Amino acid sequence: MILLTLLLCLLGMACLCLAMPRHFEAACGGKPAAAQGRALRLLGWGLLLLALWPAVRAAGPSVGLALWAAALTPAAVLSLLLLSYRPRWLAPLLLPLLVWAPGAERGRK
Amino acid sequence: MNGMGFRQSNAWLHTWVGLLLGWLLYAVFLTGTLSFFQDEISYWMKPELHAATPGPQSAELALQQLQQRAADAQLWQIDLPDERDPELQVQWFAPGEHIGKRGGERLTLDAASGEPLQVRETRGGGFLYRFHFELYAMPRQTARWIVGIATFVMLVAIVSGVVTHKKLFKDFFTFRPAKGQRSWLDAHNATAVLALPFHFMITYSGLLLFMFMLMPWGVQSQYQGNMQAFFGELRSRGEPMAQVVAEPAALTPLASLLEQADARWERGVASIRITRPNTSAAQIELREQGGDSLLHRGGAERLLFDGVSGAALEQPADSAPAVASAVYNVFSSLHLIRFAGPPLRWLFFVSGLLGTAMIATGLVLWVVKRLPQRIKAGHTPLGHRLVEVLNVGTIAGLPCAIAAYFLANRLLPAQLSGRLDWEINAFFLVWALCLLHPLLRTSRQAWLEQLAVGALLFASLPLLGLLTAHSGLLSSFGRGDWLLAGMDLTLLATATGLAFATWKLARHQPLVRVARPRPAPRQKEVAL
Repeated sequence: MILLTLLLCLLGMACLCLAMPRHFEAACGGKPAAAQGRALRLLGWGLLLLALWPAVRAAGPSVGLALWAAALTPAAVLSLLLLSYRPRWLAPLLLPLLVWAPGAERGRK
Repeated sequence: MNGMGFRQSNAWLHTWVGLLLGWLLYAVFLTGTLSFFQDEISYWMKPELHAATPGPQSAELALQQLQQRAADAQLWQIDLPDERDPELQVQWFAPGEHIGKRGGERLTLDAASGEPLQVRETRGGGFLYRFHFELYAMPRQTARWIVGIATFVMLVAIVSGVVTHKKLFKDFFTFRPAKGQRSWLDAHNATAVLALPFHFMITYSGLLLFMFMLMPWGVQSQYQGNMQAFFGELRSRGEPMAQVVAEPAALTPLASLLEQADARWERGVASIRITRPNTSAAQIELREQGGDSLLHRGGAERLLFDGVSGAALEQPADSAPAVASAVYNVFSSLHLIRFAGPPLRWLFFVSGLLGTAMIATGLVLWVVKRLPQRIKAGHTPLGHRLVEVLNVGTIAGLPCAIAAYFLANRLLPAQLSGRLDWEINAFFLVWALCLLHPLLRTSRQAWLEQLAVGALLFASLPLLGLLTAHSGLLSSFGRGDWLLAGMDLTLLATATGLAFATWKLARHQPLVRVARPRPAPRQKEVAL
């Protein structure tokens, strides 16, 4: 369960990362359309919120909340390291998401 | 600070306040982060315990020992092995003895056979834990004031740092490597911002904990100096033991009581407390293994039984905490995380390391930022040199000292008298050497040498373990003793990290631009 929280946090952070034009360019090679940016931002926040659910289910409301908040940090750090050293890996990381939520991400190359 | 804008004056505050207490805060943060694994470190430092695997018989075995050794005691306490601390301990208080946290007689038993163990004398992880808020060899109250003030300064530094940071959200995921000062600033920002909620929480809760230690006046006036009553009310503690007339009587078997408790508590029983054993007034209290709510400070449930008949007695009511103490509870239990399982503990550990790195990068940044100015002036001001020396001796020196503490634990003879003190002496001796060493070397050499020594020291610890019968990585893997294996693997990871830092620094060409090329500008400056 905690692994699911970590994974969702990582995906969410990666989306938020790609939602910023400068980082999108480094990771995907082109400029993002305004709609793409908005979709990524929305998706990112949605995933971060979704990550709360497995944590609370596994550990109860108070400890679950602490667990979730603590999991945000390594997720953000990992996104930052990927972006700095292996920016091209960020987009493929989101591939499983493309399968999972095809509607949200159409049109991204 | 006339003539400075709001942001500039905050930057000024952040720089100088941060520099002044940076080294102390670095030490507090690093030892505090290690304290998240205090029990695990203590277990690692007691190799005598590693041979025994606790079985279901622990409670019975402990009881037999108590019957043999202290049948007439007024109180028996059995601490059962648990996931984080597989030590089986018994404690008893002779008739008429004052009952408190200290005092009484203690004995560590082999969790498999129940025989008493001769465990080497060590402060274990407790030394690092105490050091992080009480330092060492200093009046406790003074040390707490010093660390308390430093904690307050940390809070100031966090807030002023956020104000100073111009593009907090725009640079959220930004790290630009190999760009000199730019990279240090990015690293300082990233380690701060990405774990900002943690930094704020741990600092603020630390301050709250100090508030009760250092400024109890409000509480004292309300409770007329009776702090025990205040904390008793806060935590709903029981009363001290009263005198009762009782006849000799046999104790009820523990097994059925433990069964009842195990059925009720998912995490099982942490400890057994038997008051007035072997008398008609005997009572048996079972305590749950950790609670699961932050509001109750990880408080555990208790079950009380009649010691002769085994009948369940009335349990202490589970009261909802008042709002003020609930806030105190949430923050203090987040700081102490007594309740937390391994995942949260590791997540906090990572954030704690980021905090330590934040302070370290801040201190290095101070030096790096002033390098061009130094080269322009053609000499190194004394203050800059002092900061440089303290940086190496603390940032690289403290990890060396911690490794030396662990190494002393393994190398000093188990029966040496005063070995407990010698372990701690090893820590401070190595730290002192690390603070003196940069005085004799150039900054670059000092960094390289101390990082390399740190890597070697940390790598030697798991290797030494391989020579022992039960404490090495091979045998702990074989037994599935993840506590021990986890510690050894963490030590190896630390060694790898330090070795990587050494390698990076050895290849590093300073980015400083000067008129004519110099092979190693840093060495020259120092010589000047």
